[in-house]
Formats: sequence, C-alpha cells, structure tokens
Amino acid sequence: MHEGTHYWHWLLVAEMFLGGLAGACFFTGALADFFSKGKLRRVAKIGSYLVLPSVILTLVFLLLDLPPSRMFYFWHFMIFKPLSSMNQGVWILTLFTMTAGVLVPAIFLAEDKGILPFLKGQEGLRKALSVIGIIFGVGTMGYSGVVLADKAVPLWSASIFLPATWVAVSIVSGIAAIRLVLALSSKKDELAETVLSKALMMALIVAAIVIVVFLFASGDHASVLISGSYALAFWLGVVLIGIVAPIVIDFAAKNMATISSILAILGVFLYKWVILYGGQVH
Amino acid sequence: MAKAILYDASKCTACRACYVACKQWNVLAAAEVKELGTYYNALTLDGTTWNLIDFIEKDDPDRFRWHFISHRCMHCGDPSCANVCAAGAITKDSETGFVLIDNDKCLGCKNCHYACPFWEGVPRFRDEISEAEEEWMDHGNKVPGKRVASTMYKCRGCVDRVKNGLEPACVTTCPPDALQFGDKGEMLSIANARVALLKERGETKAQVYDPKGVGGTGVIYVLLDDPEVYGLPADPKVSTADMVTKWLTGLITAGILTIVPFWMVFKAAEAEGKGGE
Repeated sequence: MHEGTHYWHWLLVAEMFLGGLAGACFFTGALADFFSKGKLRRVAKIGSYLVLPSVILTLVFLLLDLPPSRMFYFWHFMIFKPLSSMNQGVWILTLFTMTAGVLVPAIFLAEDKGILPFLKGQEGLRKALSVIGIIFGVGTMGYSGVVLADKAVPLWSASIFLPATWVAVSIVSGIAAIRLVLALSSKKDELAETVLSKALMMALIVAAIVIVVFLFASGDHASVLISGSYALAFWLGVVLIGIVAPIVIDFAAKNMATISSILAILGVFLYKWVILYGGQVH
Repeated sequence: MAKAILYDASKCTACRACYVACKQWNVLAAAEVKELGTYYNALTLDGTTWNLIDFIEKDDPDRFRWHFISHRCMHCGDPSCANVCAAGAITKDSETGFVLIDNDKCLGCKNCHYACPFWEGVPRFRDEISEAEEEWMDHGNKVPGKRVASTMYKCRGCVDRVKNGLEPACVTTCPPDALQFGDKGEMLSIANARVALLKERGETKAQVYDPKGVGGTGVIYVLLDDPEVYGLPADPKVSTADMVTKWLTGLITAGILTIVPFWMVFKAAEAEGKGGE
C-alpha cells in the first residue's frame, strides 16, 4: 500500500477562479462594447475596472500558494519556457494585465475622472488594446485549465475538454460579476441588465453542455464527481446552485439580478474546487 | 551514452538494502515508520525517501504470489516533470540521461509532482533540511545536490557517483544483483535475455518495462506480471503531449461557442438605440 499526496488546496482554487474572472470580465465587456457598437460601453468599463483587482488577488493567492521561504523567488518563473503551461500562464497574465488591466482602464478613467488627460478620446488605441486584451483574456481563462490538463491526474487529463470547461465557466463568472456590479450600482442601466441576463443564461447553457461533454469524455474518471466523494458538492453546488438556480431565477422573476449573479459566481468557484480536489482523490 | 538502472523483480528479495544505501549516500533522514503488521517501512516516496520497496500480494488462480517492486524516479527519456516546470528547475543530464532537480531554482509549486505518471507522482515536497544535511553542506560538500528547504526532491541517479566512475549507491549495495547499472543498450540486452530465460522457466507474463510513451526510461524493470499488477501504468504518456489540443478546446469554447451567442445578444442592444451612457 502507498499513500497519495494532496498538495494543491483552496489557495489554488482561488487563484484559478480569480484569474478566470479577470479574463472573463474583460472578454465580456469588450465584446459587449464591440458588438453593440458602443451602446454597452458601460459594461466594457465595469469589465475593465474589475480586471486589475482580480489580477492582484490572483497574484496574491499565487504567492501564498508557494512555500513562505520560496515565494519571494517568484521571479524564477519569469523565464521563457513555452512548453510549460504554467510558464505560458505567467506571460499571458503579464501581457493581459498590461493591456486589459492597466492601459484600457486608464483610457476609460481619463474619460470618467479626467486623470491622465492625454489618454482621453484615444478610441483607436483603446479598441486595438481591447482586441489584444480579448485574446489574452481567453488565455487567462484557459491557462490554469491547461495547467491541470497537462498532468498525469486522470480526472484532469483523461479527456481533452477540461480547458474548454474552464473557459466556459469563467465566462459565466465574468458576466455575473459585471451584472452584480451593475445591480449594486446606484445608477441603473436597464438595457445592460437585460442584455447581461440573457448573456448569462446563454453562457450557463454553454457551460452546462461543455461540462457534460467533459464528463462523458472522462469516462470512469469522472465518477468521483458523479457518484463519488465529491458528488454532493458537484450536484448540489455546481449543478443546482450554480447552473439551474440562476437560470430558473432569471426566468421566473425580474429584479433578482443580485442573487442570480452571486449563485452563478458561487457555482463557478465550486466547479473549480470540485475539479481540483476531486482529481486528488486516490 | 544514456545510462540505465535495471531492476529485476525476479531477483529482488525485498531486503531494502537499496533503500538504506540511498538514505546513507544522500544524507537523508530515516522515515518515520508505522506498525501496520506488514513488511512496509517507508509507506510512500517523500522528500527524504527516494526509493522504496513495495510488497504486492496477488492471488493467481493456481497460486498465491508475492511481488516486489522498487518505487523510484524512472528518469524518463522525455520527462513530463521537466516539461511542465515553469522555473526551468528540472533538466535532463546530457551525459547520463538522469533527470535532476536544481533545488536553488525550484519554487516548491508541486507542478512536477502532478505531471509525473509514475508512483502517484515521484517528485515530493520537503519543508525542512535536516541538521545532518546542514552540517554536511557546511563542510563545503556540493554533492549529491544542494539541499534547499521547501522544494521538491527525488532520486538523482547518484549522478555524482556515476560521473566519478561508480555505480548508484542502491546498485552497489544490492546483494542479489537485482539492480544493475550501465549503458542503456547493455541493460536492455540483459533484461531481454533475462525475460527469455524466465519465459523458458514458465513465467509466461515476464516482460521488460521500458515504456515508449515517455521516451523510454532510465530505470528499466524486468517484471513477472503485467505492469498494472505492480502499480505501473501500462502505457504512460508524456503529460504535455496533447497540450496544444487541450488549449484548442478552450479557444474553440471562447471563439465559437461563446462569441456567436454573445454576438446575437449584444447586437440586439445596438438595435435598441438607447442605453449605454
């Protein structure tokens, strides 16, 4: 007999959740702005303002996840090693933060608060940076899924679809976070709320489909989620609270954006939690 | 030329001299033991246990068998641990083919542990350096490998010994010659000859374990049964082999499955002709 190890804990879940949230907030906001031809500019602003706090928290959790005596050597990660998904993630996150977390919000801030006036009205630059931000945003949502998927842990790696689910659920969290900020804001925006509630519902359906594909493709290795030790957390937390409840609430009632968004965000966190922990069950 | 350690399960007596020799040469503290009513001493590989002998009971239809196997780093030809290491702390020694961790570079993130397809992840974390190791390093000793607290550890193939013309400590000490060391081609020839002999003696499942999916291994096994019986994966793969495909599933999800509904929903907002700011 031998005993397995269980090194990765909730700090990594928090890191993966917040990184995905940051990527998805920008992705959602920027696409909303592009596709609506500027009608949803406020959504883009909120999305971009949420990036930096989320990234900072991601980095805090990333550091805390390293042993205390090693965390200040984090710059060892700043080498170029394209075969390592964790190394890819370091660079994706860096470039994402520079564009989507700093430059785009700075242009919006110049417009909103009058700081850095030379950036005001730089629409061409903002759009170009937003396209780059969208691309690195997808990378930010996906890389931590790939970090898990290129391991020898069957639940994470037996199918090719874990990163797909990572992106899909992250997008749910991004839409829900922007919607939550809008719902809690004193300045109401009915159009944005209506559009985001529809987007959230679609994203939840896409996430559900991708998760089903992932579970089927994982075969017996997914039994830890379907009927094993993480089944309760999966069915109750992820499926019922995180996916079914927000859809039902939004169908049944208006003005429930706050609760529906919180439940969707909770479901995303729980999904990443059950995957990380479920994979380490020996 | 790449070197290899050959472990012959048909010769091993599970005396665990290899385990002791490894600890002694590498200045590794003894593992805490638990009385389980079995022959186990070290229960699992860890930061101070770089090899151990596993005892496997198998109830075959015609007889009860007791199999032994040595858990240790397999020194893969294409090591997943080195591929995933974001700090570039794990490299393959060009002279011997041994996979080595540079503990000065290692950040203790455990990425390598989860990437390894063998023995539930060979590289293991160690939080503390023992007084014996501190003292040994204080004396200016640089081999066998610098010790840094809160980093990952595993077998180094006694690379320091090998480069000085010696065999790894476990091989030198093995009383029944169940462990041998040399050029990989030579070790494979010995292993194949041994398997042929074992088959002649009626060991129909005897086989050489040198899985191609990880580029072959620097530790070759002669097994008496299927790899799974010993807890070995039948066909291990380099964990990063399908990384691009896995990335693509994420990109397609964002690029097609999401953008199309986003376009439909957000485009409708344009038609509303109001809202925004």
